[in-house]
Amino acid sequence: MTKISDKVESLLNKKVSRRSALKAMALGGVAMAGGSLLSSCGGEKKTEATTVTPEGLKEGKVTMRTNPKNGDDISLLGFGCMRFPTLSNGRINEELTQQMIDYAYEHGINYYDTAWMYHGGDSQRVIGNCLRKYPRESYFLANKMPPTAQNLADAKRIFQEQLDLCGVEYFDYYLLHNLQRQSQWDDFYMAQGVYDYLLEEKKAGRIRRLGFSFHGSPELMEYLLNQPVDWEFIQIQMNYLDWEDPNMQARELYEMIAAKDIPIVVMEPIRGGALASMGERLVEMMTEERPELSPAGMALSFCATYPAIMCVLSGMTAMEHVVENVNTFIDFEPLSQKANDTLLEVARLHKANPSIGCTQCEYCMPCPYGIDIPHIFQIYDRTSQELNLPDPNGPHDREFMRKRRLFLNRYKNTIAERATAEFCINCGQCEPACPQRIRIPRQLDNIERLVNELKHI
Amino acid sequence: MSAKKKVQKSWLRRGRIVLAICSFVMLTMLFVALSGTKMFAFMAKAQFIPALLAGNFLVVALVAIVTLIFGRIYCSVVCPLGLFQDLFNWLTKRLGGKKQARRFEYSEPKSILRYSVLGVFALLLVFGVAGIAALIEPYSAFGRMMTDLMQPAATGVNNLLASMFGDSFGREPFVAINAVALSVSIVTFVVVALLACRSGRTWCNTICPVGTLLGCAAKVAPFKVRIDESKCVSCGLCGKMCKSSCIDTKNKKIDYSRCVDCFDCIENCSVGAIKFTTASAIVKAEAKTDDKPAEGGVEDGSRRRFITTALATSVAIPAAWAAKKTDEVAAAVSEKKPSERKVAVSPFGSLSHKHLNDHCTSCHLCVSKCPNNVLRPALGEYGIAGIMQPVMDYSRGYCDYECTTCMDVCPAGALKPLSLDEKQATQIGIAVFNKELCVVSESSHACGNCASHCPAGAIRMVPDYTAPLANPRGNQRYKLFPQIEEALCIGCGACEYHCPAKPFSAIHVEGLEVHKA
Repeated sequence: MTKISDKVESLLNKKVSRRSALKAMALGGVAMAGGSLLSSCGGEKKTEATTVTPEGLKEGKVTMRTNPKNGDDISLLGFGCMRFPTLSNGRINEELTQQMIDYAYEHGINYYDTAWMYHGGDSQRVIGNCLRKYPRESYFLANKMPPTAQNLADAKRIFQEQLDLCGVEYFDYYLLHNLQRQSQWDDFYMAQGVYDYLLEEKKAGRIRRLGFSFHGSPELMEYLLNQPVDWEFIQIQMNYLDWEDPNMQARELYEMIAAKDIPIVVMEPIRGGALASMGERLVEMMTEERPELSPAGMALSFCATYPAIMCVLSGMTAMEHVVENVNTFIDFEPLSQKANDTLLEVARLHKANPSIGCTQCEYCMPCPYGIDIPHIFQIYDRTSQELNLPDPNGPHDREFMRKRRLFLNRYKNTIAERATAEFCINCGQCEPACPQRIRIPRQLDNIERLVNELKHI
Repeated sequence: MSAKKKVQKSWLRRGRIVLAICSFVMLTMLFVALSGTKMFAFMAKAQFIPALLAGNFLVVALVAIVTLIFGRIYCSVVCPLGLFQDLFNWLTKRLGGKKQARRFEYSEPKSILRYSVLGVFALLLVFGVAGIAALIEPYSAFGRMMTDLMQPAATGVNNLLASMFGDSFGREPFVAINAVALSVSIVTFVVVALLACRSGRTWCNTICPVGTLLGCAAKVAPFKVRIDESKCVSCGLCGKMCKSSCIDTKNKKIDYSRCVDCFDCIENCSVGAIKFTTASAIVKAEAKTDDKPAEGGVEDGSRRRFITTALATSVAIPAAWAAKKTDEVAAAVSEKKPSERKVAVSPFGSLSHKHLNDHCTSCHLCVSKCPNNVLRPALGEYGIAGIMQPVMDYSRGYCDYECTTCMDVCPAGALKPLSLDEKQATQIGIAVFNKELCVVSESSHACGNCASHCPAGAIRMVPDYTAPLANPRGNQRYKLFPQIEEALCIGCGACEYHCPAKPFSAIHVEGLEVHKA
């Protein structure tokens, strides 16, 4: 971590004291720290990326994979363009983005994934600008037909506009964005002829590879895979949290696609940064497996280890992310089966121990009805962080009874008699005051229900 | 038989002590254990008067038969108040040494007093004033002492531990005991303990109605403690050490109405002249010999001091702590006041105020065992006949829809053991809403805490079309107030307890003198 921050400092040519960098790093991992640290540096003049390679950072380029359908050599780490760094006015910090893209490009990242909907459309323009100085054939640019497109005419207009925004003649990879329902395919792409139109564009050379990004059920995937269409790649949400998740069913989706030998692009491998800030005990479990990798590195490696994965997209928001991720992917070393299993265990524990995220700022207080909100949440989060949260729906074994006693004792001992969650009347006064945007009454309701269930066991 | 030994082992006595310790521990645990355990509730059900009131004839018959054959073993093994006295008697002996151990002497039976007390007691029970009769009913007197004195002390210790090792101990609320119940318990404690220290089982043999009743039966029992006059050397030791003062050593006679089968005399007799046997069998029997010295024969000052100090501290500290914590809790909830009811709410299973008043001996086992701290001893809610009997108080808790603990443990049948289904179909009271007190009337907040906590689904939030909410966009909305469907309400008090209105809840339960099932 220190090494990365050193590297970032040198890259940005900005004197950030080691201490403040460390302090910032300590605040909830790379994801959060990077944003605040770097946005403050946004106004600085850029200098060339130096060749200074602090100790511990690997040299060279990221590992490549080949698309078996067409032989494209694609970097295993792709640059997602949904989470560019922003300025305080909400616009993309283009200068910093350029530096990040430069660093990525120089280290062999050649897959850039943007979309009509990212940053209100601005993502397309910025990535186009950033890549303009590089030979067009040296990188793959992916874009997507938005699900908001109304009809064929709309689709045509959008496609043209996308080319213009990006300032390119063609898209290497083009996706039907966010397929969730069968009607999207049946009505929009088939009945209205949008898919035929995209095939025409492919013939015309303005689209090189056609695929789709997917947020639907395995049944829908089955349906799409059985269409008389040659999908050249498919983009799915995959990470170790969603792998065995009964709703996301990432594993099932992966296996279905892999069985058809279609290469997979992974989105949300770190789940919007969530997997970069796991509880202490969980991080320890991961560090035991691969001490050199951060939690984010572990999450990316999880996806990249699976053979059908062509590219793992990471929506990098800060220079730290780029440096760290690139470092993970230079001479990428797949996870062992044991490390893979550990991550799945981490996922299970993480789900069994969710966190409310209360920081005890007490802005919500005083509650007009006397509920001790911060302490109720503190007990919950603390117990959860220790992996001691009892799950009333699981087996009621000795371990469960121990957790139950622990949680109920803490609850009884800390919260005064009429300050418990059951006295919340859902007036909602607290909610706007919460800087963490915690849905306080709803969380209190959940805790009341948990306490009640535990009491009745 | 060895002449060297002063004390010889009596297996009967040892067995009696082991059983007594077991039942005393179980009964104490039953009342004092905080974790809501009712594992030992069978010990309460084995008590004579509660069983009689509950119509539990199996227990009554068993006690009767055992007494008719063996005498008052019940008083030495089952009755917790008897064991309580034995404890103080034992302490006096331990701390006072030989002199105290030999402080007794034979006294004439106080038959007139005994039978009058028994008569009054029986009359009170027959005329349904169990509440007053309960004052001298031994099991209930013990139960009250445990619940009103010991449990707060135990809670204090528990809460002290909870403040130190919070993850292993959970803070518990104190049982709500009022001044009357507390005073009665203290008086009982002082009187019984002092009597035991001074003169052993005097309580049992003058006041206790159960003792008197069983004493009559014991007279005819074939098995008795008998003096083998051929062996007796008239040393008088047995009489001096008899806590029941029932051995007339001069005449070598024993008053069997007062003998509680403690078998101390058997062990105390240096010549083995006392046996527990039938009249025909009082022939020579080989006394068993044993060379082991009697347990605890040696005493020294430091041990005595230790016991005294430990005893004093163990009561004083928790009591002080308890008082402090009670204040804190009181401060935290002081804004909330108990609702004023026109008709008191009697617990589930009590069928009616009258049934409760007729059967309850105020042992406070239900008060002690209620996991939600809803029950407390009544003051004047049921009138004078029902003083100290359990009454529902929803200011500190509400009756758990899924709980039947009080009915499960009641040994006297005052709370009939309803099944969960029956309980949930029983109406002990009906919620009444007072709109003026409702927080929705005053503020713009929506509430509905009563409705969302009603386990019976008896409360619905309905709009009041005379109270529109300021709502600049969208449809006009109105304030929502609870509407109670009386047929569904069971009177559990969840609404009253969860009502945010202060100091009085805007919704409260009015009791039913006769429950509806």
